[in-house]
Amino acid sequence: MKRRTAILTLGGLVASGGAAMGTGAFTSVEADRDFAVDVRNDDSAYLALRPVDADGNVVGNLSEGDTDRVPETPEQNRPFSLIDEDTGRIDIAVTALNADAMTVISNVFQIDNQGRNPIDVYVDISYEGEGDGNPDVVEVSTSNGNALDDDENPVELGDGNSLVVDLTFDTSGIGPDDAIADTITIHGTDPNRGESQ
Amino acid sequence: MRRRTLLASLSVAAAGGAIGTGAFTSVEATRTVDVAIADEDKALLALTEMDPQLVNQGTRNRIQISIDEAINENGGQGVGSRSEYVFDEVFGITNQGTQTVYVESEFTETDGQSGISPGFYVATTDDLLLGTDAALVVDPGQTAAVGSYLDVSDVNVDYDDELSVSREFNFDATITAEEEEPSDLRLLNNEGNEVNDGEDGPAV
Amino acid sequence: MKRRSILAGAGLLVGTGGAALGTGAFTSVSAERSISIETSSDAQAFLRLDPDDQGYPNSEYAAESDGIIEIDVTPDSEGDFDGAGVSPFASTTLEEVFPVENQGTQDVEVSVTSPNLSPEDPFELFATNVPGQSGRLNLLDGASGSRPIIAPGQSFALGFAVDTETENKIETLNTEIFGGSGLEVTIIADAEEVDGS
Repeated sequence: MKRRTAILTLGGLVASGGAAMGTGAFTSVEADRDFAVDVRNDDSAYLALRPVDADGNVVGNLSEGDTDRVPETPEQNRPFSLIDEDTGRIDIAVTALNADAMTVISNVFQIDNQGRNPIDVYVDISYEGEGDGNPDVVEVSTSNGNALDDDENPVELGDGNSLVVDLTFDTSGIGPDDAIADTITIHGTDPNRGESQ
Repeated sequence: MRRRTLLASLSVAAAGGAIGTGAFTSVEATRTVDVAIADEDKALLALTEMDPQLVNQGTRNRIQISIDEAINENGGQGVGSRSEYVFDEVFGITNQGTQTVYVESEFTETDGQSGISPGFYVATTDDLLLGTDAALVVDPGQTAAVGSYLDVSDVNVDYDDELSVSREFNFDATITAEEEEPSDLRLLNNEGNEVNDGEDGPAV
Repeated sequence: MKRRSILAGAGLLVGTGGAALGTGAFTSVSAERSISIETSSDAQAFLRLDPDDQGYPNSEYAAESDGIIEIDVTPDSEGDFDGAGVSPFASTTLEEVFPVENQGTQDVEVSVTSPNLSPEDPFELFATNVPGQSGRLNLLDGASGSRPIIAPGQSFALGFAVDTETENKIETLNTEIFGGSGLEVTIIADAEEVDGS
């Protein structure tokens, strides 16, 4: 924690008992200012993340077992993405992949830029749990076929715009007991950062 | 005959630089002190609005920072949870005094919640937070652009199709500018570049 | 009877108007002498107040008008700074505005009085660099703690602090303390306050 120097205070709190007040700041200004932040769920945040249906259209929240509107395999009885009603964060789950296969799942979720400036987007997949995962199994792309997981070639998303995410899984050499990934991180950076406004 | 009174002799020390034999017993000099209270953006340490969507100027142009739905019309109403957000050039600091100052900041929650760890940084150097990692060096006449960094942890916000829920966090951001150089922090100039040994970076 | 005039050294004017001076006891005498009384600028006087001495950076907040020093942190100040005043809703401390030096021959205790200032007010004048003391000493007569004592040739640095943290304090400063043409303070250097003198 940063060190603090005592700041001279006035109005009767000036030192009693005859000697030093303050501890050495020679010239100082100290100002308290209000700072307020609203935290929102993934549906309302500046960077919004939303579930989509098989056609790539945003749907209201989906519950587990909502099989009519979502792309899924018979083995997975929950939508590929839904917003947890208690946390407000989107959960993405693909849990019935074939081993040693190449699987493409389109329209997994949507990224909305609800901020005020364009952002360069890229997504990375990682495994943070115990032991080793295999995050390279997963490739992320837009529904237009642009790679989304290359941090050197992000995809620009204008403010007020959205893109739908497809996931491709190459499970060569990966079996049912292998961990794959548990974390997806969406990055968005202003491509015009640092330029005068 | 006119009466004369005996005049006591006076021993008066001559003034004007030559000190005479007399020690003075007391001197009282009445002088004027005039101090004005300026508006926030005109003061010796001026704080100015750089991002009108995030900063409001209140009484005497006192700056207030709010990161909420007033930011735009694209539907974004706040930051998401389990996220890091960076907003460049929120407000400016201009040194209108006579000495170089070292600026730091510290945030205190005022509503008792934890969940966000905010910080200020200079220019685009968002990895070095003022007061924690670095101090901002501002020479008289210089202006620095200060940005806001937010580390939002797993703050839970109810999701309901019908309702719009928000979790508001309030802080006191204490901004200090001191003439004394801190010994335990990296020093950054107003462009966000590190300076060493008291050298200043290029003036803006 | 012979008139006599009594000479008493250079510059003596014998009492005029026909006083009768006899040969023996005189009824009265008046003796005029020359006397030089000059004031000095604050930079030269017994109590030396010279912002140019020591080269303090904060000396820009002090000005001399006809040799008389004043502290001026207002838009009209001719000091080399751009600010129009201290910050609102903040605490501002400026040390080392000008030195106060004893150019007399006895130790003196220095204090200030002002009809418009009390220890509870949000404005304070203080001393730093006091010989034999660390930290700051409140200069206001009646404030807690002791006042600085400087021997001949010694000095301390005068500084001030302003607390503008509330609108009430700002009002007090603007109307009661610095209202009109500023605050009149009397700087007192008193040898009799020093023990043993």
